[in-house]
Amino acid sequence: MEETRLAVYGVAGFILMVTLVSGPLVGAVDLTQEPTGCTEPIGSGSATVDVDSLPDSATISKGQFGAETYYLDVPDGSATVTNVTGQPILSYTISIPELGRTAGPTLFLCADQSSQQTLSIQRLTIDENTLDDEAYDATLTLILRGDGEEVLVREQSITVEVQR
Amino acid sequence: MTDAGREARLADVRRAVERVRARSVQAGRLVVGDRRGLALLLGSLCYIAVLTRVGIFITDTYTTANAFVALTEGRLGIERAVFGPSLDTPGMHVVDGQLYGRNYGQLVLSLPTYWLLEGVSLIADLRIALVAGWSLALLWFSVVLGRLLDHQRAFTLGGSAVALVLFLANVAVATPLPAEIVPVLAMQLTSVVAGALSAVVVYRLVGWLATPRTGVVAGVLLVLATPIGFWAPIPKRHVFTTLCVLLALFAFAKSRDPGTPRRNLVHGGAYAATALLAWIHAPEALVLFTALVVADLVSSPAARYRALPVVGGIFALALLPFFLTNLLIAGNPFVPPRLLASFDAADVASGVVDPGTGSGEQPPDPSGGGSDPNGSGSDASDGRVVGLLTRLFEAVVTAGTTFVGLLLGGIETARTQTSALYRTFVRSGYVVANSAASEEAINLSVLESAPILGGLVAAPFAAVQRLLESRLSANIDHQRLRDPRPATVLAIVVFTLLFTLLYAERLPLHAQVTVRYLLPLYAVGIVGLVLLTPIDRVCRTKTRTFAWATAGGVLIGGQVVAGFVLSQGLALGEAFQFHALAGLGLASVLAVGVIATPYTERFDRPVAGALGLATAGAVVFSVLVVTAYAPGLGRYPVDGGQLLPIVRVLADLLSAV
Repeated sequence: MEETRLAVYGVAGFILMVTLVSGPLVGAVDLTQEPTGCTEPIGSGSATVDVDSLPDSATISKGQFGAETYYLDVPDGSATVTNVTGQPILSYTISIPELGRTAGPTLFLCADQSSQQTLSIQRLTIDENTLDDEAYDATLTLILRGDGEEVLVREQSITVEVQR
Repeated sequence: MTDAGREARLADVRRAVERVRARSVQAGRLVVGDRRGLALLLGSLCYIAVLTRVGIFITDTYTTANAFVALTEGRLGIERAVFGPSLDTPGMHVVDGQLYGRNYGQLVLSLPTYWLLEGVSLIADLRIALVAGWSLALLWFSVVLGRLLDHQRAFTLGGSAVALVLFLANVAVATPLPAEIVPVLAMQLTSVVAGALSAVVVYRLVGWLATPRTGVVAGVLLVLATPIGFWAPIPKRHVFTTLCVLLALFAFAKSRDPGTPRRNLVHGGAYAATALLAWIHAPEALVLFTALVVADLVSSPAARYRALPVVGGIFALALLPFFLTNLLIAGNPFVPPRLLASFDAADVASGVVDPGTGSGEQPPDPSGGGSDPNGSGSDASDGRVVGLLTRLFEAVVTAGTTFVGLLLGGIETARTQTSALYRTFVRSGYVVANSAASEEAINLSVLESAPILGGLVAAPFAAVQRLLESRLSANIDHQRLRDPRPATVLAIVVFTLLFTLLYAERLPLHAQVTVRYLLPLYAVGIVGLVLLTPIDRVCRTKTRTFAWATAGGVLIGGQVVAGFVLSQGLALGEAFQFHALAGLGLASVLAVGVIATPYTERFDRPVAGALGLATAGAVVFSVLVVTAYAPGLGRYPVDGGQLLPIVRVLADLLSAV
């Protein structure tokens, strides 16, 4: 019985003590810190980007489990990023002019990241009513922005096939 | 001499401490009832905290949050947009160019939490303090649970270790909480407490009507098996509505029993809960009020009418804060904010809006009206009583016609748009009408969100069986409706019907996720479910099976589901619809099982297992929504991340896959 009392009061006391000691009144230690990421200003510096692979085709198909929406699926590509200074921005987009849609991620490059970058585009919902054709022309674009200049790393046209 | 003096003073202090302790225990007992209620409260708080993300997730919360900030500064009117892009947000009302929010009852209830948080932030880092509070609640929960289950030593030592480890883990990955988010956090935590209290009230209601054990199962089901756990941290009115409804039902049930101490007071308490709800959201209070009055009229013997003055008096007294707020805002005690003109940035220039226009009838008399919302108290006293009565009459007419209009609209919808009701209650899928607001199919139906309600299929069978049995024993008694249990069931049925009709016209709707408008129906549904004689029996006799099925379903099934959803790279709408179909599957299994229960006890164990799995399904969905799916549901500018740092890390891990 003494043991259980000790455990409860010990743990409770420890928790309260840590809370007080880290608080502004005592301020002995700061336990909450923003996760350290890149501290360099966004859009500064430069990098060397080598494209390893980009998909040749993409599909638009109906969602599963009765979700009934149409989704654009783009297989992943990959790139190798080296010689990073500052925090340049790599933007990867797919644009389908006929559907008026553009989408894709913006990657913030950082020196301490791994050099392999996966280029993946999240599944994008497409309004069924706009899908008149069986296939659409689309463009994949990879742009690097750093130190105030834009570099077109790669531009590639692909076909998006509609699967009904 | 000094020793004796010190001794005496020490004894004094000890006695004072003892007295304070006794008082707090007494006050605590008033709220939670007993140790089981306490365990439910603590367990629910710990679970809901896991599901809590700090921030604003629905645009109309901007309105209430800005109104709350104004309230913390001692003003009713809103002057600046602390949260959100501008003051032109849904639910903003305007009187004479002065902006007001709504749901003031909820906001006032959140004030003490705000003061508490402000106080705590003086001596502690708020994130660490919240983590500490959570760990201590977990520790307390395990101690109470150990006493209940007669494994005191194991639970206490284990609980201490777990609380310590989780505290350290949370502290290790803690990030600061932005100071400007404190008002939102206060509203959220108040709502979390309301959610946990709902479980306690369900336990007390069912525990009293049936058995304590069934009551505990009902409380657990409320938090785990329905979307109430998910909605509790999101500072909307729905969880408060649920709590008010449950409080009213509990007080009403108690007042049916002649043995209840201070019976008239308790009876009045049911209507006081209605009054509190009116302060938060008047139309819903009207539904609750109607259901209570109907059930009261049917179940009260003639002698009960002597209680009317007391009950009415308590009701009127409890309505005072509501009337006062209306008076300060609209200049008319009987016009709640929702009946006022909505704020539209384009209309600002034209300015003068009359509080009477909500009804489309003629404006209230000039003695206070629209000209000076705060000054009506200083008017000439002659016409005031007459004026007040006129306004009361007008308000009753307005409320009555609006209410009846809504209900008729609901009936019309139910008759003509059966598919909309089907979409709302049974199978959601992709609702075309909503595609503009949310392109993906992420709004589940009632049954998909709470598969446990599939058990309600047993209701007609149980009722028929019951009827046959009583016919056999030649024991049909009309007086039986006066008993607490049937009277409460009647109130629940009337409430469910009216509440459904209230919202039938507007559903299905976007930004519902789990039909939040109908949140109170999940709660009364759980109460109705466990009060069915056969389900009551299953809960009572097969509690262990239920508990293990729930735990197994969450721990094993949860990993399988998460693994599947993440490895398939499903889009948000697909993942939600996968959960929807899984929920429907669990609901059907349960439904098939419960049909047998009125006739035989042979399938009680599988049915308890099905109840547990349906519960687990809802838990897994809720946890995944706040972790893996959270980024997909949209990022809002006001965002302090998950309340518990370890849940944030889990969310990052899951959404990175």
